[in-house]
Amino acid sequence: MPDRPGREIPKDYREVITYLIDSQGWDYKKARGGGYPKLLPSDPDQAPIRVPKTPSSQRTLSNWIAEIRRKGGHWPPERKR
Amino acid sequence: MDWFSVRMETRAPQDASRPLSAVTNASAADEMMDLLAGYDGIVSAGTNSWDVTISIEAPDSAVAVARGTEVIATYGHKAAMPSWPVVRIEAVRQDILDAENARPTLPELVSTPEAAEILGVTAQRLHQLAAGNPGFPDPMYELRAGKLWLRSAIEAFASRERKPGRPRQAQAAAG
Repeated sequence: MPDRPGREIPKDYREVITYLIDSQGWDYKKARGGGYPKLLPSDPDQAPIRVPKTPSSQRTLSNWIAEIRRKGGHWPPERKR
Repeated sequence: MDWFSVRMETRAPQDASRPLSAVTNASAADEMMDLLAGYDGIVSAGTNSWDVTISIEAPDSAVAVARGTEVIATYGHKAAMPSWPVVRIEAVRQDILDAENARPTLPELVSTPEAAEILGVTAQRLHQLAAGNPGFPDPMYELRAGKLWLRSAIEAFASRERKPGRPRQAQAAAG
């Protein structure tokens, strides 16, 4: 059973990860033994992205989202009409 | 002074005799995340590449790249990240990055009924336009369920081709 993001990461990150898992085939792995959770792109050639574990600055979130987009992730969701 | 997002990308040499152990790389990447927390750091690490993004306050992008490179190299060494060749370094001003991040990456697509609605025609007329008007945009996708067009292409066609007033053919005939 694949991992789902929970309270181990901040809410802003959880929302993005849930969208990537549910609609784009990305995977999420909770940290085992003190490391950082990992977000795995649907493209296996792309390296997993670490997920911050504590609420961080807006700049950290921005850097993280830019990394997701660079690795083929779509965010934000297309607006509904 | 502005904030810049500085990203460095490395790749394992193609002739590397021994690929890096995934376990070693994972613990080094976790340590790198800890070390770069004060720089808004984000680390991606696989068995043949690692990338780091940090935020740096600097007077311009060139200085941001220089300072960012130094920070990433210093902490990369401390965390025992593999010293692979750097294949890309870039700095983006934070407000520019934020604006880019806010734009959806997927283009907005419309199906036949939506495209017909934008043009104010029936679906049947839309198919006629698509088949007979060389200026009509090609669909982005042709699925078994139907065609999908870029919304922006249909809207551009609507504003270009379907101007109010008498159709051009009628004007030509009258002249």
